Amino acid sequence: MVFSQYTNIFSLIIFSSLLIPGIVAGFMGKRIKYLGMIASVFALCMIMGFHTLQMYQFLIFLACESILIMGYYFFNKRAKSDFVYFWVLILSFLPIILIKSVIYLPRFNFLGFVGISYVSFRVWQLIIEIHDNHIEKLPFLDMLYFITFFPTISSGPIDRYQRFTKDLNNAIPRNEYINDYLFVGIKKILLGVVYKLGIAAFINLYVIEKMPHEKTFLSVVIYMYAYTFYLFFDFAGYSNFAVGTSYILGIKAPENFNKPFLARNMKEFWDRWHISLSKWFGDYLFSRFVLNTLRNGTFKSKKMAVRCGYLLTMTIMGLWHGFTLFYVAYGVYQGIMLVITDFYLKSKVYRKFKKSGCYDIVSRIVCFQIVAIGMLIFSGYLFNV
Amino acid sequence: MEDLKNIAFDIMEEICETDEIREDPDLDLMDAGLIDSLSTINIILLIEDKLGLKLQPTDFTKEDISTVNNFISFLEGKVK
Amino acid sequence: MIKKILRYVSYVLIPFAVVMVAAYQYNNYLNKAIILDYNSALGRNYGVDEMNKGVSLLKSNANKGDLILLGSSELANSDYIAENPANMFPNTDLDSQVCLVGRAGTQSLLDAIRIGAMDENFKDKKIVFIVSLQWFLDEKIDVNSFRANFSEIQFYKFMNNSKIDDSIKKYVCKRTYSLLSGQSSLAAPCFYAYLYSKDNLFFRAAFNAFKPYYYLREKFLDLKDKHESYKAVKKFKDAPKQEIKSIDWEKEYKIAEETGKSECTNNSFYVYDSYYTEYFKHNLDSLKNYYGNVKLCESDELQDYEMALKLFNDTGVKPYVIIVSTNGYYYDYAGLTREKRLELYDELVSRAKKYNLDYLDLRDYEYTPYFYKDVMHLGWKGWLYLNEKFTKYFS
Repeated sequence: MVFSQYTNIFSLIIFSSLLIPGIVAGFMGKRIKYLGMIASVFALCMIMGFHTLQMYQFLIFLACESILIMGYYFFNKRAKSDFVYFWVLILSFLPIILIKSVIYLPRFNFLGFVGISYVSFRVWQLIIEIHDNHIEKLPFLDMLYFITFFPTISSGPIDRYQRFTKDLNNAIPRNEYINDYLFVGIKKILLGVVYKLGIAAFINLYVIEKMPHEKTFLSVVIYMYAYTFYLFFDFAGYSNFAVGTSYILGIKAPENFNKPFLARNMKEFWDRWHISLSKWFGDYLFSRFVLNTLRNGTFKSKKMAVRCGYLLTMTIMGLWHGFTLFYVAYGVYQGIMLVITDFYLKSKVYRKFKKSGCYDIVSRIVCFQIVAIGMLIFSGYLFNV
Repeated sequence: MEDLKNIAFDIMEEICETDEIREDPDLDLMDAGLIDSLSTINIILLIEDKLGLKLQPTDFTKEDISTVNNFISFLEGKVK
Repeated sequence: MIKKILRYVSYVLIPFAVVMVAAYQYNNYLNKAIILDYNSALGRNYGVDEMNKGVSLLKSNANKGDLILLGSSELANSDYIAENPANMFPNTDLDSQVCLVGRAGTQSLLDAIRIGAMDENFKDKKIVFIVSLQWFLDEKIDVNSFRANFSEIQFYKFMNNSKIDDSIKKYVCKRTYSLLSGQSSLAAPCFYAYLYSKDNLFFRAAFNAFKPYYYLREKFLDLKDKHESYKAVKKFKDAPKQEIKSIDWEKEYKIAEETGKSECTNNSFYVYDSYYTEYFKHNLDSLKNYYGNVKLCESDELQDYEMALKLFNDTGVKPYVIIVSTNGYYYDYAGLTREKRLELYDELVSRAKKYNLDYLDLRDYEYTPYFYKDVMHLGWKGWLYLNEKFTKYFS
């Protein structure tokens, strides 16, 4: 029997029932850590299925990546080697690249497991942080729990190991748990219900599913706006479930959304939309790319480095969604928009008007249109999917 | 250490493009809109320039650069 | 802190209460509206989801004295086959509208759940249960067909029917769990079936713990079913009334014979021409003895069939069981011998007898040309024969 995480009230109730031991521990002011780990094991069996192909792939993936991570951790304590670092990183990329590239062939569409894209981020983050010497201790169970933490396994938010373990090893006093974790978590879950099972489901049922088969200009425009709102409410709703459940288990998972449609420009947009992903790409791909190319002289001008960085990072983000044309197009589109925004933010027009209230409103409206076009590409609607 | 404090102020002034920051070393720079996500790259480059320290984006947290005083303590920790 | 809890509770309880009252009123409105506006044209349509996967349409039909046919894909194509029951009732000998229930993939287990979901009013109604040989071809019944035709609301009503024996409920739960397992969109009824099918104390306790949730879920699905059913009723509301036909059976047999002859001209299996061209012309060789290894009586379907008959008997529903045979010419060629087929018919008949149900055995018509229109589906003469039988039986 397989349960999909958070897609309907039934699965919410089932997953919530796993939280009960953790809640009891929180009420008593005790550490939730180990109860959370046990709940996680049950939850993963429910998500992947017991004795299913998906579960076996998941376990094999975990085994291989754990060997890489723990092995590299012990190696790095004794010796520093960029060569080893490079190869460990490459090996850790292999599973997801392999799966993403063949999964579209009918023969291989059983490959992969729920959350593989997001689990991979946590694996890579660990390896990079080990290399940067930011990780003092790496207990095996903690590492495993971090990578497979069930509330956020299917679609994030993407946490960081150091932040996660700090929360994990805390024994939260009772009042703080009830006010700052339990109630907050429940509120978030209820908000998630309204967003995902209410608003997003409504838009999907009454607008998206009623779209005519022929594409006219009008239908594309309506679909664009409907899909943009649908995607937000669906994903923000999911993120609320994930973060809420996380809080109840004593982990303050990072937020994924901060009123994204109020952004004044695309750079600000990415600080407000899918925040954990853009921060991850920012810290581990974009910044390092810019710094390295400036340090080793590939780019003389900081502006060039930053703009190439935007294009590269966003294209890779597009590819990470899947190796299909419209995902790549989406990535490239976002990259180009960020480059244009970079020019825009340094322009005289911006500097002159940025304090004006009216300009503020207009720029938010314009930015929303750019966002909506991006989401239209992302939906694959134009590519006949 | 005075030297370090001055370097810290210099860096922050260049990043924030204003000398307001010298007046209030406890001003929250993020809230005031004076630094953003791109600033981290510039900060790293300036630290490398002035102190010869090669850092990574994840070597410091948001808190470490949120106020000038925090930044000074961070640098003191790194230089030791 | 108590104040805070009370505040939160009232934020949830008050809107909940409002919604409950509104839902209750709407439910009552729909109950009346469905009965008032129902047009029998809906029942004559094949494959209406609200009829097949719902409860309220079929329930309200029983009250109208319709002739209810529980079948599968043979019920289709009333626009091509003039002898389809949808076209021959009501007639001067039997003044009943026809209600087609079931579609391709519907088999005994699904029909048992459907009938179990009905209430007291379903007893002594005009019900026909059409059983096809093809259901028994595989040892395990088709999982995808089951899932596509499974109705969650029927399942819950079935489980809540006190007239049904607990052993039947446990059997249905075990079967449902094994067939739905792995389909995450059907996780809720699958989980219910799983918990109920286990005998030990822990699962009993878990089942009871989830009862309030399933109670609410059932009520919600019930309202949804009525809402969808009323939408379907409105679609057919203004359809013209079906005239009562006066049938000259002799004449109709001649017509059926002529039609059949003109449709089946290019093959010796007596299947209609385009069927032959599409399915047989190019792989005749690979079809020889294709069913050579089939063991009809070892199919899970036989247990499902027996359980369904037992359920019919227990609930007082007495359908006229039609044991449909099949196109003998084709199946002889395909290696499923007449002997094996007769063995199955014997098993089916013996169980019908065991549970005191009237039955009709069609084994003598396997070689009657145009009785079947293709290898398995009732055709011109087949339906005409059955319509005559139904008329005699129910009047």
